[in-house]
Amino acid sequence: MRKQINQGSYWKAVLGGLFLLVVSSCGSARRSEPIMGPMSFRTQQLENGRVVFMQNCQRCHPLGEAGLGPSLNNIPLPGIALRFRVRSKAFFLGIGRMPSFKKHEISREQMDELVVYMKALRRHKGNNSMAAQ
Amino acid sequence: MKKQYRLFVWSLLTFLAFGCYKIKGHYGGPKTFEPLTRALQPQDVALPAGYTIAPVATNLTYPTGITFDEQGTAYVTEAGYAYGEVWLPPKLLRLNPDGTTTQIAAGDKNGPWTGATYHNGFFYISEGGELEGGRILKISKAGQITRLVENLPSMGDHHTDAPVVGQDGYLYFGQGTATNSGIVGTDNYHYGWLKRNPTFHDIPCKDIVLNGQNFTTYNPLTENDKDEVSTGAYLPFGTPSTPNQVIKGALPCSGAILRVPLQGGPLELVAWGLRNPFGLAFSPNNQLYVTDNGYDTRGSRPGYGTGDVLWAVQPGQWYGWPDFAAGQSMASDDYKTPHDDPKFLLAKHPGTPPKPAAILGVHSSSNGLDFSRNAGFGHVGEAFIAQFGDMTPEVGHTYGPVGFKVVRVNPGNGVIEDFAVNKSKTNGPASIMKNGGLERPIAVKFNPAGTELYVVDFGIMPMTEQGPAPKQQTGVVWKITKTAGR
Repeated sequence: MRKQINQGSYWKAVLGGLFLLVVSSCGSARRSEPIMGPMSFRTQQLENGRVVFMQNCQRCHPLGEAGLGPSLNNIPLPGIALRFRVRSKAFFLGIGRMPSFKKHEISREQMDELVVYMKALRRHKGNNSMAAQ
Repeated sequence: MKKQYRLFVWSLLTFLAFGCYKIKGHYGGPKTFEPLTRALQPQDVALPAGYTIAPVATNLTYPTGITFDEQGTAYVTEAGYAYGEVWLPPKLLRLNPDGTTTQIAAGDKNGPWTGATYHNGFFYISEGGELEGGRILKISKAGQITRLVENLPSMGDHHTDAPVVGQDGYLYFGQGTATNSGIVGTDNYHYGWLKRNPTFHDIPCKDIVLNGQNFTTYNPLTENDKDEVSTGAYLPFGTPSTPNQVIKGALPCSGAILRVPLQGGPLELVAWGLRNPFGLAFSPNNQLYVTDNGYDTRGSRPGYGTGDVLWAVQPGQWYGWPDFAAGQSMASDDYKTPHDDPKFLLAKHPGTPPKPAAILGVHSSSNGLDFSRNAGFGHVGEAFIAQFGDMTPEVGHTYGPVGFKVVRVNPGNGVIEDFAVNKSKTNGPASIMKNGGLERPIAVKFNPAGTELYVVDFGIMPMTEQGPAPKQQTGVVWKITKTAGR
């Protein structure tokens, strides 16, 4: 009985993960200024969050797009899941290569700022799109 | 119920495999260097509001750098040699107003020419030196070539990189390392140079002490399939190291920024512990910055997840290669590969690497850079960096194309923004995105007035199953101009 429950949970987790992956793969993750116009940084928290992102996340997820790691801008994770993902290597059944960031690397306050920035980046769909041509 | 779950999972997997989500692999078919026709469409390049882009020179073969004389005339270097082991004469070309080019000078089979800078009537060119060692060449406007520096250790993975002239009357240039992370291995055989130069290896700039870590591989230099060799850091292929072994430092050395007086003279060390210090530029406040390409996931000692770096160059500073990446220890779970964590090669470190000015995309190949100095163009004091784009799967795997664009960086806080990218659902080179935009930007340079940003686009270089296949006559120089206020 116990084994059946564990297997059921396992399949649900796999399904959930795959579903997120499919959802994320088909919407565009592009949010950068040339594509979507400039983001407005109305609060210091947002500005600080961008700096935290640049120091820790940008190398693998350039401006939230796919790079060494998958795109982030089109993954509809709530703030609590984002925090867990950044702090824990065990996210999504331990699959993936992303390092975990401890509190001495990203403090609690910086984590709050990072999540604010990541959500704002995800929501940024442009007010000045395709400006150049 | 379980059967239904499985069916659904397989459906999703099929969708992933054939749908939108792709792990980037080989592309471009068989390895050839034959010219291709490139249909340029400037409207396929996205820029911030108020900027426009146009091609000003086309059909170039492996262009790498651009410089301007007193009259504002542009000159371009063509590499000659390119990854994939193609050997053509490197060239210095003048760009004529009608888009044609005039040859000023040509080199021998010792490319790649990685860039040029013009100063007081002469061109200074970095000759990559894959075959005979790196050189700094001084070329008159009439095309007469003299050697300012020679015998630089350039016959490996990375070359002598593009020069820049300082206000102090010195010519500064980067010298890349022979290897990915200090160990000569079978990856270098596949690149081509280990067979040509089986004793070539990295040279430290100052004395270092080794841990004695060795790496065992098969020996591609012999016919015997079972022949194995053990190789230590900073040593020739097949030469093991011992604990506390001292490797004597020397000049010229690998992974360094060096300088030489413009009139010639002894070589001087500026900074070391770099991997491939490709792009050099002085900021408006005369601070020297360099782009440094991060480790690849290849060879005997692969690195994983190490971004390219923009460093502010401090004289005498050691920047961490081969034991640190972007200022962080490589002996960390963060950089773990299937071969386990890279352990330290050095028993003592020559210093503590500083904090980078910015960390750019892993495998983005962030190369040439220049600083905006004109408020009319905007972003004064920010660095514009050409990102050549990844060479996956040879250097590792990614979830999507990385680089293939121009970014701007605030060196004060490390914030990076895209500046010129292709308009497509995902980022990537024009040849993959099936449009007429950017391919592989390798250098950027403002005109002397600072009103126009020139982007040197190396051209189409697919990563085939047999290795890089750079296509001749696909290089382009683009010009970005600001046309409206914001």
